[in-house]
Amino acid sequence: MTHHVHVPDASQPVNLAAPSRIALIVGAVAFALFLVGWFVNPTTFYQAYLMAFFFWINMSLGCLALVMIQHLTGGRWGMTIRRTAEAGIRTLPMMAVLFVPLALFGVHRLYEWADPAVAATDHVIHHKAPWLNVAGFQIRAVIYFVLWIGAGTLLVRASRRQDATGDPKVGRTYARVAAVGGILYFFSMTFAALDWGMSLDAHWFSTMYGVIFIIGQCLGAMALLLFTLILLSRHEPLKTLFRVDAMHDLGKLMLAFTMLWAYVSFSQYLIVYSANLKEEIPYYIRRGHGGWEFLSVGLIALNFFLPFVVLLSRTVKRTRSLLLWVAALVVVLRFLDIFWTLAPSMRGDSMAAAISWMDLAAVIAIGGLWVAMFLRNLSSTALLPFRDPKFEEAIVHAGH
Amino acid sequence: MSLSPEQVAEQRAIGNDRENAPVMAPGYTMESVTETIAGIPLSKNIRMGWAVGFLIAFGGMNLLLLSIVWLLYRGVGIWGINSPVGWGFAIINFVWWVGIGHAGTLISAILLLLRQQWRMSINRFAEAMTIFAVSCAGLFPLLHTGRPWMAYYLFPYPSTSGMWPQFRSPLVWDVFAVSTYATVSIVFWYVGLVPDLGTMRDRAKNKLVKFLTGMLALGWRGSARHWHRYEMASLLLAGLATPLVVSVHTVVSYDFAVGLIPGWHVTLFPPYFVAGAIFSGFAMVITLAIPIRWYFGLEGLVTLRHMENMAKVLLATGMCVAYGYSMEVFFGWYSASRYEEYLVFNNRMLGPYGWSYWMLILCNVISVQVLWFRWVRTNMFALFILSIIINVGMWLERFVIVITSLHADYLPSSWGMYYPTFWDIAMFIGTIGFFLTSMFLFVRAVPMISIFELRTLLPQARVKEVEK
Amino acid sequence: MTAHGHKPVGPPIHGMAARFEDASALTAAARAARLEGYARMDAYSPFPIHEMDEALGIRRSILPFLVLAAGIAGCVGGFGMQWWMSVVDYPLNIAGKPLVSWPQWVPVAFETTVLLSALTAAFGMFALNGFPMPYHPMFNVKGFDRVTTDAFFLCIEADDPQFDVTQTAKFLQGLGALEVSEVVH
Repeated sequence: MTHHVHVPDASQPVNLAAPSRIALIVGAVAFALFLVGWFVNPTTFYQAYLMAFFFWINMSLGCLALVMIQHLTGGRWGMTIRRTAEAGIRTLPMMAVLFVPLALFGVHRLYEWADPAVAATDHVIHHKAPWLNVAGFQIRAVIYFVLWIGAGTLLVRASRRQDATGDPKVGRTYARVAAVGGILYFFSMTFAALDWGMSLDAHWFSTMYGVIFIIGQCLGAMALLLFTLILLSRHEPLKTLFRVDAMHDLGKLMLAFTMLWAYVSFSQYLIVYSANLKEEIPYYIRRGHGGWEFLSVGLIALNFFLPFVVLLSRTVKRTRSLLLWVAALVVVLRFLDIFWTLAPSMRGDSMAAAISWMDLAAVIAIGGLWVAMFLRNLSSTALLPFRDPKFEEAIVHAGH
Repeated sequence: MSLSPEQVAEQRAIGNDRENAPVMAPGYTMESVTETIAGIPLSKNIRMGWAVGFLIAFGGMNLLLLSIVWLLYRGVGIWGINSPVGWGFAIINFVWWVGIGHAGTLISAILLLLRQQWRMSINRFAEAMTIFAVSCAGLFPLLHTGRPWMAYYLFPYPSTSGMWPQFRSPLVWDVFAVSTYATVSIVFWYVGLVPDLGTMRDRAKNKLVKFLTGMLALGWRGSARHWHRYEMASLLLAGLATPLVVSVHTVVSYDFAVGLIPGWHVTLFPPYFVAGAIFSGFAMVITLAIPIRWYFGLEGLVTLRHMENMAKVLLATGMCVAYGYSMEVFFGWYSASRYEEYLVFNNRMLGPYGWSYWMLILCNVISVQVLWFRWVRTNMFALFILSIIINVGMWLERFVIVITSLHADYLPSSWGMYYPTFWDIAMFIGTIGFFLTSMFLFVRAVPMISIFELRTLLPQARVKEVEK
Repeated sequence: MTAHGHKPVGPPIHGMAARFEDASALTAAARAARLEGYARMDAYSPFPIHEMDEALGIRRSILPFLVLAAGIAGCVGGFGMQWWMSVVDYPLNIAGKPLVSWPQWVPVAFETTVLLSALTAAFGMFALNGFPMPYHPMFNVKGFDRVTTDAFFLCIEADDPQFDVTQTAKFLQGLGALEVSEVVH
């Protein structure tokens, strides 16, 4: 058999200005609506803001993590997602700006430890005050963003150089930034998850918490990238170059992250459940009553069981239209996971009372901006690293 | 035809190229790859170095037999365990050996799924290591029961007493996890061996070897239909072995974590134990691979590329373990629980066993940082020494976890010290002897590298499509 | 074997085997033989050749479905066993937990799932391949002991409707075979 398939030119960017503009308009409208919420109830407003922010920054940071993982491990799956993931990384500066309201104002409404009166009387919070204080929270946030944006910029800049010059030494830059950046990311994300999420329950602690967030980020970003790539593959150059084998590999990785997410989440639960210690178990008791138990079971069923079973099938992983739906489901369920993790700690024992219209408005508001930025970034470079030394082998001749 | 000594020397030189060693030195043919690997078990000669090494290891194994006999005769009182430290060397060695086993499964399963070709030169050998390490591991809890001949009590079977195992206990989970792991590892290893056993059958001169390998090869004849199912089964087994290997050390970590002893009850334990297991397993693979590739002249097949990649895995998992230690310290303080805080700072770092904690940090965190330098990653002597240091460090990690948490917990009235006895140490050295004896026999008995997989790496194995 | 102890009635030979130079030649020959209309044949090689599945028209094995079924059985069986033993047959109050404390059953159920699936993957593969089969007519072919080192064979079997001793031998010769020989039982 002969393979004289026409290989489309991968070096030209794809124009995504129109969808980007739509996303921006949707985001702007939702933001205006969401801002009304501040007048209704500022506390609920910041809670919704925090969850939406977390959801979208998880996507940005998941992209960063995936790019670093693939630079360290190699493998052809990385070649297909690298540029798309880099477009996600480049939303980080915008996310840093969006964090400012939380750091300056939201912190006082969200965290009980930020109240000096509580910090003075509650002995546990008093003990933690050297870490849990407003100035520390703000300084650490600056450090986190500097690290993330720094590592992301170095990687993106290396890719620019590769696209422009085809310099083979870029590979070394990638590996070095990914090795050092990966370690810094792992630690900084752990503490960011502690600062922004875990400290909502100032008495509670779990060493697994950061890892759950990190794996959730990888899962969410993988699903979002897969979703994007499948949509983009309706047109050239990805119509030809996003091959079924590559999609199959990405589907397997999404399955792997789904299993990992379930593994770390379940392990934390099993350990806390079995020991039943008074300083730990309230976290799960709260999530097992007042309507939250339905969300808990729903998460197990929809966030683990359904994608797990569906992704076991080879056919699903190799059919674009089916995998598109699975990826979309995983993306949506990431928000449910964030909501399950954060909302019970902020809004109390009844789930029905904990749902607000602002949550949806906030996700769409920040999401519109995020997607607009993401698509704009994506239009500014080639969709594939066409000058990577391994590009030909991995993409053009894949599967032959 | 086989390779001439000059060709062998040339390929060893290529494999030892520190700048860019390939996954496989060029110039091999189907025949020379087969002969280089299958020739070792099929050779009639017993080499001096192998014999001496084997005898030393065999001596160690006899020490194990002696320790077991004495233990059965006198009971577990010959060990240093006592109240409050009821889990001593037995559990430390168990966790250490199980951890070492993980590298084999990881290399053959996860790297197979990730399509990493460099795995092919080391997987067979690492899987064998897994089986022997798990055997050593299983011995300890078995003997720790005191009456190992009653160990079948641990399995659910309809007994006259009408009782069943207590399924909420992590120790029962461990029985299932370790026995499943041992079974699946052996099956996976055997499935991988079948085509190479066919090769041995077809090349053996000795009638008995031909008969035995012929029986074990099950009638393998390289049929395309067989290859199709064979590869599918390999992938399925890899897909199953990957979560299995994670689950095994996870369950081992549950042994500690689901209880409420400070220093054991840590939610991070599962992934942190798994990372530690991979860390120690790769260290052991390196410890064994360096002398073996040199002694048998396999540097053209197990090249510096393999060694460097394994060194990188060591660095990565070493950083994961370092993350775990940092989290223990940070949360020791952040928990605001006085027991946690006491454990981490007063007991582990500054208590009577503080030396072991700082040694462990030195071995597992500080020493590993030299792997950032390519010079170390490609220097076999340095890498060998480092791998030994990590083996020691990972043993110390389990020592710290088991002993410091037990010897002083909630009740100061029941604090006490733990000291291993002669028989604790003898049994530990004995299992190392058993492990090495098995490895010596393995490298002489079966092809230590998967021959049929290496054939697929040869350029002549590619199917060239003919233009029509 | 029939009840009378005679040899089974069938073609006097197993088929016609041809040795080829390498994997490319073998794959090309298999494709050509299929185009020619031969259906019953097999290729033999020292390593798996991925192109061969398509060349010989090998259908995907049912092995994954067997493994899936075994996995489901292992999972349900694992949970069921623990439920029956610790809720029905011998209920015990442990640490004040409810009798149905399913989170603590997950590890064992997981292990039984993997155990059954893995054993099915391995032994299912053996069974589908017809192992153990220490004797096979192909082993009578001259030079077939090299198939586990560096030899490549294609065998068109005698029960193929198109099989004809002379025609098939000529056809295989025409494909560039290094050697063609009858495969005796």
